[in-house]
Amino acid sequence: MLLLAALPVLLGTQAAPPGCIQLKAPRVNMRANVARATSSPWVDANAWRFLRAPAAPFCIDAPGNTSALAAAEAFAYGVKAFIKTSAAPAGFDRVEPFSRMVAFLKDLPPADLPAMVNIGLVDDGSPAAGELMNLLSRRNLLYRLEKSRDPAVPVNVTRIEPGDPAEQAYAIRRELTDDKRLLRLYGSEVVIGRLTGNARRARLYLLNYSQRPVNGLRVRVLGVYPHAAAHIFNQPADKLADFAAADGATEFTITRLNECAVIDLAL
Amino acid sequence: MERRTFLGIAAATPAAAAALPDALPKYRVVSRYEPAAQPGMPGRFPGHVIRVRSEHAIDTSTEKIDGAVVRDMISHGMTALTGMSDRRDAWRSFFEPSDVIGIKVNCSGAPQVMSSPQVVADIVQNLMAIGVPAKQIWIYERFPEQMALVKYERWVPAEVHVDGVEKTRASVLGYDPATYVEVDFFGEDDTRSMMVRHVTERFTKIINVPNMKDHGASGVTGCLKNIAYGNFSNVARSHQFAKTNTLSFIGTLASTEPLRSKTVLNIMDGLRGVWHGGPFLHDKRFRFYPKQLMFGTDPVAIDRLLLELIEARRKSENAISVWERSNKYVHAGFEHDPNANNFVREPGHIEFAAGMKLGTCDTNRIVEKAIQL
Repeated sequence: MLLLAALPVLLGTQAAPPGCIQLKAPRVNMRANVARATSSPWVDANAWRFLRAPAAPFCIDAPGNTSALAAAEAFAYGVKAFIKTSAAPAGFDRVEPFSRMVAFLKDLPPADLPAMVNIGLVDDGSPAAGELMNLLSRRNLLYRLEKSRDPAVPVNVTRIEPGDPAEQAYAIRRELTDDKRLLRLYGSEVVIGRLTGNARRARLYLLNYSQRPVNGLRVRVLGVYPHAAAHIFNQPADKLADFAAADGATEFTITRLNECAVIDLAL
Repeated sequence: MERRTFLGIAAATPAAAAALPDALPKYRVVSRYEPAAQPGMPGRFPGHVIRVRSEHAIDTSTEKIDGAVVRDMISHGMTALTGMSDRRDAWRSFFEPSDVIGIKVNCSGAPQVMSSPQVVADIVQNLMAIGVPAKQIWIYERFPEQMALVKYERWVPAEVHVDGVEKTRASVLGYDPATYVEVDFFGEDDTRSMMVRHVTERFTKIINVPNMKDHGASGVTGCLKNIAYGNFSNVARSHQFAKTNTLSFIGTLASTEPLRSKTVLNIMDGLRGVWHGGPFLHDKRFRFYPKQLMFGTDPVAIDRLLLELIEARRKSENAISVWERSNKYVHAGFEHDPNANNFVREPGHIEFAAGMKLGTCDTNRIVEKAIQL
């Protein structure tokens, strides 16, 4: 049963709950005036912060349409979130994007499934560890935090290397190998997934951090799941295209991804 | 349909590659298509190139192309290639009325340099003359916004399809997710380049119509580059900083089925050319007028001759060689400085493709017939 408490709450004029961790809205941060080593977009995601403090309440300042993504992101990671929207321009219903997303989330079939991960990471609480977690999240290298080495996962990260965290993230990816990754996304650099599941079924949350739709996202989930149901925000009639469940993996295409989609897979 | 995965492309690379200083990227080619009994590349006439030149093909002061001259050039080229006296017989030897034909144009230098609409229109007319219905002919390119600059639809019957595959940049919807080349060049997360879906599911044959251009990454861009990078998604990732992987990526993409089997004819449009700054035309100083078309089924042989032509032109302009590998020339200003490189170029991609059995690179084995009109 889906707990209503898991749904994000709109923070109005009331005070923020005690201990609330303040976060900014998730989004793609266009940094056209900043020189960078790659042309990849800069994704501001809150995933790693949620994973670092899963029991904490989060207060997210998400103006305008970003409130919909903020709500979906918090829901996907199962945290208690309070969304604050800014003063809206004339004629703009500041609550509407948030309300539509919450209605979408509320209508999802119940699923209370544990995270599926490739990587166990021992978080030392340092900023470097936080940045490594952030990079793993952004590259869809699925991880969970552990107190010590976990024999149940293929790759354990027990030490945060000094230097460039991007290099450590890539080293982790190479150690894991792409073939063993539980989740691969093709066709966009601005979508982050969270995979949950058990021995019989899986649920995939897909979050689009850009402020425009992704037209065509190819998804590969490790494991053969012949049955799938797609719940795509603002695209209720859309079905998964080019679905294939064979050769150890399940693949499909989402033709238009707005802020969020939830894909239920079953054996 | 059973899905087959073909592995180990790197193991099939030419001996020349073994001596390269850098290890080749590890490619995984996934396709459910078997090669034809005689793949289109190198096709029926390996090592053969017909070059047709006419001084009157284009007026260089007005840029006006003479359509009648172009028609004559194409007629001579096709009959010389096939050894047939009637041009319709020449076209019939490649195509039949039931074929669905893709004409892969190149519009990256448009509107100044591209597959000329006069050339493309005459190809369409020749196909229709042998009974191919207009509705079974597709003029296509990856990027619709580049195609829109040329306006091919004004030159061909309305039933001919003019289609840009990537309706929005980076969208995978125009590509076949089951036919792709997977490789990690620089740590990028999206490691797949998928083949244009028209190629796998719609076309029975493809005519490749590239230009004569210099290229900042691959040295030159002709038949191989146009058919390879022009039929797959997510290919720009093969370059980063000074390094480009065009050496091995172009041949690997071009040899992927069914692209290799379906590409049966190459007509290189060299009415105009670009001797520096390609594939785009940033500076009109770098445009020149070879006034010629090349015909063949062997993309490697044609590109080998293209390489000589571009290199000769660069030499006459006192520009550095496309073979120049010194990092001292890799600096900003490539668009306007013929002695600047964007990347360390890889003109060796042509020889590499020969090693993948896509054609003949050895100039001693290339049979060139030149026709002057």
